[in-house]
Amino acid sequence: MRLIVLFWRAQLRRKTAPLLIIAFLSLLTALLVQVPSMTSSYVYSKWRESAQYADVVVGYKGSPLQIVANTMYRLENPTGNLPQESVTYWKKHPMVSESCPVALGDNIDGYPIVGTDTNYFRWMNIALLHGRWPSASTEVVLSAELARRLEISIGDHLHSSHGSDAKGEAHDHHHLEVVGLTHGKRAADNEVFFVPVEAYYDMHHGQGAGAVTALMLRLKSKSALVMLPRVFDARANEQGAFPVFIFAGLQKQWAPTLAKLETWGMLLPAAVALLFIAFLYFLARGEREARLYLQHLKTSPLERYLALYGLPLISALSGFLLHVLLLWGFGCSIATMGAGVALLPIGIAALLFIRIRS
Amino acid sequence: MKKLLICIAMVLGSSSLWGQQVIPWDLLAVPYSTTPDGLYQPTFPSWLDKYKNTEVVIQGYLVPVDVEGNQYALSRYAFSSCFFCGNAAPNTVVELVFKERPDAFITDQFVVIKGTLVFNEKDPFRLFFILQNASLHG
Repeated sequence: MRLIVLFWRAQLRRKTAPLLIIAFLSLLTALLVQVPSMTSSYVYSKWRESAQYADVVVGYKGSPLQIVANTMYRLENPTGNLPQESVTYWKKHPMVSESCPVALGDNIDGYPIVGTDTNYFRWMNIALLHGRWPSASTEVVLSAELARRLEISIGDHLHSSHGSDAKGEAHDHHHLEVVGLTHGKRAADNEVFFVPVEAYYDMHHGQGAGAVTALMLRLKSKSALVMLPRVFDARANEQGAFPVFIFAGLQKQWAPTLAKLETWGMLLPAAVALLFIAFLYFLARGEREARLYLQHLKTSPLERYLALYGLPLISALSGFLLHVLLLWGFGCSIATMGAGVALLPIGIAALLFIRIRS
Repeated sequence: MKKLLICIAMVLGSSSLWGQQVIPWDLLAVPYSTTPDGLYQPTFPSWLDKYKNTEVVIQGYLVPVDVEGNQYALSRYAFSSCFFCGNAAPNTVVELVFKERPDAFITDQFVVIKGTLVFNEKDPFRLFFILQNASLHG
């Protein structure tokens, strides 16, 4: 073992650059292999996720994409507000099994305030870590992560501002007390403050009472989803946004491109993988003198193998692990099959090393 | 002789597909009424009874109704002009209940589906016709 460590130390001193190139080529191969699945995930993930939480999002007449992006991800401006009459109609609609209001438009320190009810926490898998859920219009909860960043704790008093900018008109008359800390499964739910929907009416002196920005619906059956668009056609100023149909539209647009990417997209990682294997091979062939010296020392084949090729293989595996960490850090899913394919060149190189004798 | 063979092939082709009963969409265009809430009540004419609970084949465009790929509808028209996105009627869509979870389909994929045709006379939250034990045909 001591001999192996000595060899590795010498390799680290003499061959730092080749070892770094091995790690880089391994990282590049692994990342390139994952490109098709990463593209697919980037295109579909938000819409796939949205459709899991709600069947329909009802908003004021406008773009369905904008309604879903605003209600679920706070990525766009709202299309407008739904009046109380619309909210009551949809809550009581025979095809609807459950509903969840979402009021938006104000902020605390630039972070959006979401006015909602307990259904939102249940549907979006938001857990309460400390304290309790807000039940009065003067109570607010936020994620433990955001609380740490803004140095807010339970019992603190906050004031909201109008609009999405922290410099907007302040609602000084309306005090909000932090009563709980949460943790959401989705990043979008860890970057907001949650209040009961009634808090929005009190912040605005009772103006617009009963209205909300959007209403998320879960239906009694998936077939009801197919029947509802006709109902929306007959309703003035209401827009039904159907995440599943947005997903279907995207799938139709992107499917041919992604299919091509899966077929032809493998050529580039294959070329890089070949380069990677060739680099390792020629690097190993250059170890002839060291191999002879080790043979002279009467070392076992395994010891010789580890001493000569252990470090390049560790370097290659480091590149592979770095790709896993990078994808994980950016919140991308790792395709198991892709990861397996990315490991293949390292395996081939390991086998090639056994074959090198001269 | 050649013309006769073509005629026979056309007749056979229009009435059956690989020996199965192919249901033309016009046959499924049953009359229906609508409530103010948008619920539909179909009426199934007696001449359709011979198809009830029998194995049939229907051709159309696939429309997913959930993102997990568990539930699909079969539409007479392509996605952009189907009943819920365009101006067609609710009797231009059939609910599919697959025998086995299908491989992921692509929206608007044109398919031939075999299954048992069930008339939905009671459940207002489901479509007029349900193709039970559905599977890809041919």
